[in-house]
Amino acid sequence: MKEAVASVMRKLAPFLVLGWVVLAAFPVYYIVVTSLKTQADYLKPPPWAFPEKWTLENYRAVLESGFLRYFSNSVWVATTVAIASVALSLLVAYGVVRSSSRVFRGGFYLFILGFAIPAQATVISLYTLARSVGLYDTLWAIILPLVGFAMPVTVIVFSNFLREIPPALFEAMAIEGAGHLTILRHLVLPLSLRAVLSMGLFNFIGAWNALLFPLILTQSPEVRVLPMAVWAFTGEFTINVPAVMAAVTLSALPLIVAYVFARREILNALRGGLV
Amino acid sequence: MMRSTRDPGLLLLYSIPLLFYGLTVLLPILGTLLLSFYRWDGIGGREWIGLANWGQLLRDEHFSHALKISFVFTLAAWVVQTPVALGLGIYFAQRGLFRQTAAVFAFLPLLFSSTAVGIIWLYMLDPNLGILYYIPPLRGLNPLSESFALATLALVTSWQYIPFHTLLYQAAYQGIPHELYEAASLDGAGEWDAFWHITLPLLRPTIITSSFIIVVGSLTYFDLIWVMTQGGPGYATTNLPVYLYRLAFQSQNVGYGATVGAFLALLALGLSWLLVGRSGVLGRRWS
Repeated sequence: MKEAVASVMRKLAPFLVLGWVVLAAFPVYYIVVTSLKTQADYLKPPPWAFPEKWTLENYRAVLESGFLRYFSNSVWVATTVAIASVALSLLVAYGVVRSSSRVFRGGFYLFILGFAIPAQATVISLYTLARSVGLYDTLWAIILPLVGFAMPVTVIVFSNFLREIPPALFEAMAIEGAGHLTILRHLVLPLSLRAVLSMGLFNFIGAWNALLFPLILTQSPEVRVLPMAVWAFTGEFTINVPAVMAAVTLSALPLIVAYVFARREILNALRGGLV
Repeated sequence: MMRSTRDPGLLLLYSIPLLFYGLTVLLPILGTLLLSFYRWDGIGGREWIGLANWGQLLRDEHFSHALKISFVFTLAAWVVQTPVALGLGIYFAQRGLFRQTAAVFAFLPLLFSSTAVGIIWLYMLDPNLGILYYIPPLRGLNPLSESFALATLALVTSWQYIPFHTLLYQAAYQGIPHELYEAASLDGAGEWDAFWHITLPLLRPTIITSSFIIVVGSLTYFDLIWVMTQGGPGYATTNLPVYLYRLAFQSQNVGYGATVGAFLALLALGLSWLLVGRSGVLGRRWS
């Protein structure tokens, strides 16, 4: 009986998987096809039909609505967050691994604490802080807390990674007179390059996709980032759904392109150092 | 090793990121806690009111409702995501042309932000122009009406995050030594027994990690809810993060909103301790 169930499950598995694949891929097909339709075509059922008249007009409309500005804002925010979070976390992990002192261990626990406390809980205080230091409505208001809240998981992953480096290697370099920065650059960085790139990409994607911080900490169109822009488009183009879909497609394009060319690396990064 | 206890250079290198972290993360956490003792509309002066905000939490039915929404949402997300991700993960961990090709498409939802996911499904589920019309049992249904909105959000969330948990299970399953299955098979164990007595027990750490991420993730879910329903209709999909946003930024009830935030922080901390601290799974892996 049990084996019969197992055998049925095994035969059924490819079909269930196919069901998920359709469910996963259909929305992607839907946004791309819709973004290439005229408004008249969009109103004609069924929603998954090819456009009668293919058009790039929606992309033009989106690009003319300041999209490039929002895009470059997002590039700047996500790149800065990725680099800063990785650099700062590497310093922490290095300190934790290289010292047995209580100060360092205590500091590490602060990151474990930050790992458990969700950023969403602190947004009100972040808002008042940003106001009081005059950073409200600037890109820095988004960048700084994004870096901070990316640090706990990055520190934890890096610490694990650096613990695998034999202490004798550090000692040998130190005896030869190498300072910490030299050791970081010539030993730690090369050995942990994979983790560094992976976590950098993970934090980049997190920053690229973030909505809550920009929603609370900015308001002007000049400092709009992509998730805010795409959301704003749904209000601006209420009746022009194909244009909204063009905006959604463009906002996801970098990651889609990266996925096509470096699927393994992207999936590794998305796992965020877990497993 | 010991020389580093009195190593000013190392201490300096360590204090820079710690200071940064203190200002951007620890300070807002403390600030949230502090604000919870004040009455404040965000513009005028603050008034110290002690524990009055915390007392109000106990009597506020919107708060207990938001807590219930968070709980139901988390449970629904877990029940949908865990079995599907477990199955897909095991399936994609094995070789084969169909498996590899299917995997390429199966992970597509990962490439979209919550904002994008929310917008895509908002239009796909549109009662007039969306796809539901073509699925006879669902024809005429408004998935974002008061009775269905929460279920819809849980399903869309699952759509978004199943691939992530699939990745976790896939990697974990690949780490199980193949010899175990060969040995079990020589002993006459069938696939059913192998699954329950080898696969599941060995995947247990991953199940706990994945569940932890689902629980804390769903508890703090904001972006997708905000895009799709803004917590509505009424309060039907207002979980704790959405509630604190509404309090602070729509009702100018900043002090009380911070109290909800502080409660959320404590809740997440407690749950993390329960799920991770005690089982020691992340402890073994991460410290």
